[in-house]
Amino acid sequence: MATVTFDRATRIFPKSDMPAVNALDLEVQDGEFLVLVGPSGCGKTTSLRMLAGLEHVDEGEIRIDGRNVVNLAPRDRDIAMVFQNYALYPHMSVAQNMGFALRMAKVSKSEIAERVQDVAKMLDLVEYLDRKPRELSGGQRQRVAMGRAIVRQPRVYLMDEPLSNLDAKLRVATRAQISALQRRLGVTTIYVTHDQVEAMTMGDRVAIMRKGELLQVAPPEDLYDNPINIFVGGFIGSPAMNMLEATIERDSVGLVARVGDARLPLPEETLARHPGLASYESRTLVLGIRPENLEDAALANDGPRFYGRVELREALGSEVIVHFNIAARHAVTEETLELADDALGDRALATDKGTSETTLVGRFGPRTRVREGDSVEVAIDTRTLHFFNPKDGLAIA
Amino acid sequence: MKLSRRFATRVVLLVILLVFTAFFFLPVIWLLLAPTKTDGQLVTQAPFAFGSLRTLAHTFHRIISYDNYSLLVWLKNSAIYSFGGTALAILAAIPAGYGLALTHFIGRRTLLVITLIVMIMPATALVLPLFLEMDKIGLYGTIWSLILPFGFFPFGVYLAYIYFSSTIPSDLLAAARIDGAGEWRVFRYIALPLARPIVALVGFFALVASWNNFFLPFVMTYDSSQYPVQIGLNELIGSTASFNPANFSAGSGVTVLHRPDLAMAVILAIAPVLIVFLFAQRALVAGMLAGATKE
Repeated sequence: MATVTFDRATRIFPKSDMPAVNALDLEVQDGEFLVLVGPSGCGKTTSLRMLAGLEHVDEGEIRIDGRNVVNLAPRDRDIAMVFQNYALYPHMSVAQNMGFALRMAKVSKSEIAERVQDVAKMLDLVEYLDRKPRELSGGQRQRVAMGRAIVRQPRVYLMDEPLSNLDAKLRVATRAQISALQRRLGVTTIYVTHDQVEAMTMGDRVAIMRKGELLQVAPPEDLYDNPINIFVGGFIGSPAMNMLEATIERDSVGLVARVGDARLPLPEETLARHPGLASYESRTLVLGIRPENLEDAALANDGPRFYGRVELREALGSEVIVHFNIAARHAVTEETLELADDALGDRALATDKGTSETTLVGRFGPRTRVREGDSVEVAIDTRTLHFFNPKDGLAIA
Repeated sequence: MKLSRRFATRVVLLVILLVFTAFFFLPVIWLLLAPTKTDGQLVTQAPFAFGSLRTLAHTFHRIISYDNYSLLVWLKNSAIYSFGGTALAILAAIPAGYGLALTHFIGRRTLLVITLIVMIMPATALVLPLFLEMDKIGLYGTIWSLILPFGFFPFGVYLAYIYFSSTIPSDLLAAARIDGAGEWRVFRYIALPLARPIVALVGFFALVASWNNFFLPFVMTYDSSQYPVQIGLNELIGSTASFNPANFSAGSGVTVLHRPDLAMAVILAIAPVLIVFLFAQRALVAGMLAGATKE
């Protein structure tokens, strides 16, 4: 049980001029499950390894329970880590793997056996205790890696993408298992992933990083509802937020956002939440619309509409993901390009096609009748729009 | 047409292979058959004729008992020098390769390059300076003058380096460090148990290198009782009548050796390494294949 504090912690790799982790400030509460998320190369794993003592800290401090651990060897930090590839000792049995740390700590043999047995029960590993890692399935290996960390009863758990080597179904099950286990054990946990679904479902709070910088740290819902900038808005949520170029104009009823030839009147509620919008009158900004705020007009109430043509329909049973084209322009900033790059294949975010057409993704109700190639009328829920400054990418408050 | 050409190609290849096999293998067969014949039979009979088991027993007895069982003393010396040197070589090469492959320290690359340079340097080039060094520190003529120089076995260091850098993921060591192991215990409990195949391989090569070394013991030893078997063989050649007729004028009283005796001595000198090889074979093959596949 411990708090973990990153205090302007910085890591610059040799022969690199850009810090892999730049002055990271982050506080993790006692017993908290914090998820570090971001695209590859954002510095999340490096941050974790800095905390573990596997990576040098060039500047700043990292404190566990208030004590600066920067100069402590990994073994003196009282942490346990689950590696992406599990890093099980191939020449040791499951029991020996799990008991290794206790053996290093000179715990008595009988106590080691007892504690290994307890944790093995917890993780359904009892019957495999005598096996070697190579005789186990991927999921079992993953559990052994977890078990090895749990047996230790350390102050902090570090997990480096522990689910990325599992198949999709097992990943979902294990995700829930880890969350439940962490809540039960109540040990401070820092969990690194590039999967925003894991981040959203597991973390008490989620810290999102990009290019070595911490962008935002907040509970998942907060992160989802109030992204601090374009990157966070686009990274969190699946399918990703639609980012459009919009101009704020004033007409007889008040402020409207003009997107292509569509005009979206901005309701009081929205303006109250984003008072800064007033100063954007007749200026261009980036408008973010979550897919769930777009609905087949046939299933929706009144409100502003987009008129477009259906490109792709993905029926998931409980909902239908519809990709449709409208006459509008995609917001193209450095961040949207990076997001598109990261999520390549998810949707063609950055491809402007040089035309004034852009593809939006909507999450329609299961009873929608739209078919590929159809014209479609889409209702927009304008109460939950997101607005970003196109220059610095920051959300407009 | 096509088929017969392919057939012809195969025949030609087969002939070439057979010629090469014969070229290298026939001398070995000759050597193995030589002790079954008398010196006279060796020159009069066909080269690959088998003499008799009786003669073989005689030859064996004569060479073993020659000069008050010198050959056994030499074999014993060889064993002491070689196993001593090998033990030292393993003790140094395995941790050295580990250090070069998996840790970071200033001068790591330089050390690696130096190791490679020494590896390609002929071992004989170092014999003279080693002799001067041993003489200065008073070890000349002791068994240490033959064991210590083999403690640094650069080829072994290189093999261990390659093995560690290609087969042991760094996360495995990181896991052990986090699990509370210090650097020594990381090596002792994780790296070393996983390095078994390479320990066998390095040990075998070190053993062969030391066992077959001639020039270093030739310089470092001065008395027949200190000789390893390689120097002993050289001595035996000097006692073989057909090679040195001048040494054996009638009535000199020296036991005269003949070529079959010498062949027997050579076989006995090879045998220990061969036996070790047979026993270590499985581990050796594992060592040579290691890194080719990942678990």
